[in-house]
Amino acid sequence: MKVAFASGKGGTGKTLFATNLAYRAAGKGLAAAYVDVDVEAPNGHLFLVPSDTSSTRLSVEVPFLKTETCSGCGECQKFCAYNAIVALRDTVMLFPELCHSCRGCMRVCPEGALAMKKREIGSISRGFRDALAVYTGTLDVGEARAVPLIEGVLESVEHTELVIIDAPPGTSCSAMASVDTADLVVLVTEPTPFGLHDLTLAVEMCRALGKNVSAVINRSDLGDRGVFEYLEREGIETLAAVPFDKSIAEAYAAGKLAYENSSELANALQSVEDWIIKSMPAGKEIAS
Amino acid sequence: MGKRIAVSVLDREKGADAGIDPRFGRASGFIILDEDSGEILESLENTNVNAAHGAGTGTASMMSENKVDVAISCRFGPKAFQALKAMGIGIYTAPEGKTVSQVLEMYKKGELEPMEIKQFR
Repeated sequence: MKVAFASGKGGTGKTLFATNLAYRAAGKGLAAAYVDVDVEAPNGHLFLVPSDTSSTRLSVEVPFLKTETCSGCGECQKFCAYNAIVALRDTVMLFPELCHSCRGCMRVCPEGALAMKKREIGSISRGFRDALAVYTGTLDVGEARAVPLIEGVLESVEHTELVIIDAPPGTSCSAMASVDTADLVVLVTEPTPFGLHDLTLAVEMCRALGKNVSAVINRSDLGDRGVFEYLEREGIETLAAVPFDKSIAEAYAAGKLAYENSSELANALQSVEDWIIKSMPAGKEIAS
Repeated sequence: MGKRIAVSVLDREKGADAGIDPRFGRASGFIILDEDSGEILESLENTNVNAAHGAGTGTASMMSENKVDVAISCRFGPKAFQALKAMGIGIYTAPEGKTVSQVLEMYKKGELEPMEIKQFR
């Protein structure tokens, strides 16, 4: 069972819920993995502090130029939908960080001047916090394309009963790739106008991907009623609502797993966990 | 005929009175003028304005396709700079808030700065 914690707006509490829920579930004997695919700014490891970590590099294929054969005709530039190739007078200039590895340039080149090579874009690390497997994808600084790394991280997760995916915010390709393989999507939101605006976008994104969504409302006693009304209107189940609690903020700021200090958070995690178990194929249970 | 000068603009409809768009890669459009006569030779929509990535390289290619000799904007990104440089196109930065005709006058008087590498903000 793969459960993605996503959001439209950043800073709503995806990582708070994902790390705490994953660790708590693993502590109850469920084979669980926490997977941080917010690869441009992964931070789940700050709270889970995995040990015994091992790391691999991830590569994508990009073109390189055999300069002795390029005539500078510019056919490859015309083909490239991502402006990764710029035609010069008698040659072309490649910007591999913009390339989407489609190989089209290589096919249209009349001189056979382009070939593919590997380009590293980031790292995948795996470690453990007690029984919980902790995976982290980290995109190299300056890389524009997170999707191949996100897919690589998700593919590297070994079989477990529960995979908790910590998605990046927004509704970009990265956010879509992060929730695409999930069985369930939990949207973490907050009751503010920004929260509502971006939640609406995230719901639309998930529906376009054929995902059923549920919501968790963080800092539920602040802000206004817009998010509550929207969720009700859309028929989206609210799994938990956690009021603002300074002890959660303090624990989070100290890099701790906050549920140990907050019964409100622990109760909310229990509600989400119950819902996950209810949604699981028969025969899977977490001992309480 | 003088050099073909491209200026990034906010509103192409205004012609020589259009304000300079501060961004090169994601400029709304470009007006290409003849350096000597100040005549408007082309008015180009920038199709790269909403590109997810690669706006700078795409816009640089547009300069080359339109035989631009000198590109003027307020800011150029590193990839656009690299591409324009390799194309042999002159890269000049102008202050924000000027119009196309003011920018052209400044260029002709030598008041604009040629952009150098490592000048990115």
